[in-house]
Amino acid sequence: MLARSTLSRGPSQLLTRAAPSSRRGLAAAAVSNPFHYSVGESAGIKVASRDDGGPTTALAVVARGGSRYETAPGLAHGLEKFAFKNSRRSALRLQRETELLGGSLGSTLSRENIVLRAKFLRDDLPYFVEALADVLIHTKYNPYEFNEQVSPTMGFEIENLHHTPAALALEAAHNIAFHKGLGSSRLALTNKYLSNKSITEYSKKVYSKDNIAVVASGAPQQDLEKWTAEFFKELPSGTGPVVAPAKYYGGETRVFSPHGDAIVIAFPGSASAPSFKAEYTVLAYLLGGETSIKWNTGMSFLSQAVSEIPHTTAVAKHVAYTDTGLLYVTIEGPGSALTQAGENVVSAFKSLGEVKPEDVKKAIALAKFDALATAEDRSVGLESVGQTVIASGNAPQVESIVKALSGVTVEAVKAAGKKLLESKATFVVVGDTYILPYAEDLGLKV
Amino acid sequence: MTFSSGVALRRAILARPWLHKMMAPIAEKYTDLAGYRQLGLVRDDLIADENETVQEAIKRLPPKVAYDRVYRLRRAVQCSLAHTILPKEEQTKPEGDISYLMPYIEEIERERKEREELDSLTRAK
Repeated sequence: MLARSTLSRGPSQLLTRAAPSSRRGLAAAAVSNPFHYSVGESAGIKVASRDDGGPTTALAVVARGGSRYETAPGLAHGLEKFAFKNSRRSALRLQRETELLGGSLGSTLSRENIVLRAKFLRDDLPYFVEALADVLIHTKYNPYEFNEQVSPTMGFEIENLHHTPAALALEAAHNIAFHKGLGSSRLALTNKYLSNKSITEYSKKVYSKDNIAVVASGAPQQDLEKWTAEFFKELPSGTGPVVAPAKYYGGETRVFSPHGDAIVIAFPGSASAPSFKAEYTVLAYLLGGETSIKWNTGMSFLSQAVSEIPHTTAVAKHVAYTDTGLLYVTIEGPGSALTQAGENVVSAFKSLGEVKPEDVKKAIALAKFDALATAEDRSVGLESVGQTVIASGNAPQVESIVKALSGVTVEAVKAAGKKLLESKATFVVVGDTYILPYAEDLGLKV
Repeated sequence: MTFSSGVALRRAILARPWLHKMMAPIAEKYTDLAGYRQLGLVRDDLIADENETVQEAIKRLPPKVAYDRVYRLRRAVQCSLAHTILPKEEQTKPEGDISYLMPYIEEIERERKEREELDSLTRAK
């Protein structure tokens, strides 16, 4: 195995290791249920993994430190962008060594979590566990790295956000739906509160033993536990940042943007496992908006609602957080068409009360397919697994999700649909505020 | 020859107490004769900055340190133009002669060297 001692002998050693070894036959692990995550604990850190015996591994460290936990605006974004910068070894060396091993590193930020990810050939597990541990334990947070690399990258992402009306509308929707905490901006809109010092302090709060989970797909549990114990043992213990439970408020806001038009209509949804309500997921698929067949508007409620309006799309999504959720519809298109599209979408919402059983069946089938397809993809589901493992100590199993989806009845969907319209809506328009509609014009209660 | 080669020599001397004892008075005399302390400068102000390495290092200085550096340089230029030296109390004290720039230069040289090494990797048989 590739341990620290091997690395110190120089990168040429790595080159010889870059070729995948054929020691392990792929048929070696004929696992009965390749989707099943086993959960354990090692050195006080929660470790979850599943092993389907495939040749590659996806590894993630999920830290409960997304934007809802930050103590000043933008800290989570700054911390996320500081991942894989100079630590015990330099950022450059880490990058080159990773390339030699044929792996890739990355980090993502959500409202709940900072996720550090690695994808690599299965034999290189120890190297990448150590690489991720180094980020958590040894990152130096140099001020000049912040100025030279971190800050410009953050700037690009902010720029990108401001040029994407739909993303901006969703940000604003979260803000008025949940106010502080969960509603605070995911990205750092200003650098005013950021310095290497404040980021270092936040990192100490977030990167602690009880606040992270190591999740792998395609690695044996005992190996992962062993290497986690070895490389993460210096991580300080701590309970992580505190947060007030999220509360749904709702309301209306309008943001001017010269870069296009979008509307987001959102309603309170369901929290993630264990108090997950599958009918909200089914509701999102029932509303739909994305087509399964090319060059076709699709048959879901929202696709039908905007099918007559050219260049306009309306897509429903459900996003589950640890203690709440949001069911939202994003309507994009030319500003002049959005009033009509919005009216159609609202009447589609109203028709949820008398939904046909076969439509629900179709939505459940689609939801099941997506749940299983996501589970099949190595690197996609790691964050939600980690999030649940940190919160409850158990991994959400795809079997139980599929089972919950199969158990959704037409009545439950109808009831959830009715409840949506009874609750206070969140309504955001971004773009040309002169022509874009108000919530009241569309018949929404805010 | 890099900017930090002198630092390596200094460390080698410091590592040998007998050598350090021998060199210390000579070094004291040398810095005194060099005269930069009379102009209120510190040793790292004398590093030639017309090159990428030192420019990069200056960029990395914390704002206060960078400001003080410019202040010292301007004051020294003023003294030089006026053919004077600073009054005794404004001159740099030996304990105030701190190497504020060299750590950054060393770090940048290390980074450059590492990049060069990694750029010219060859596959071992």
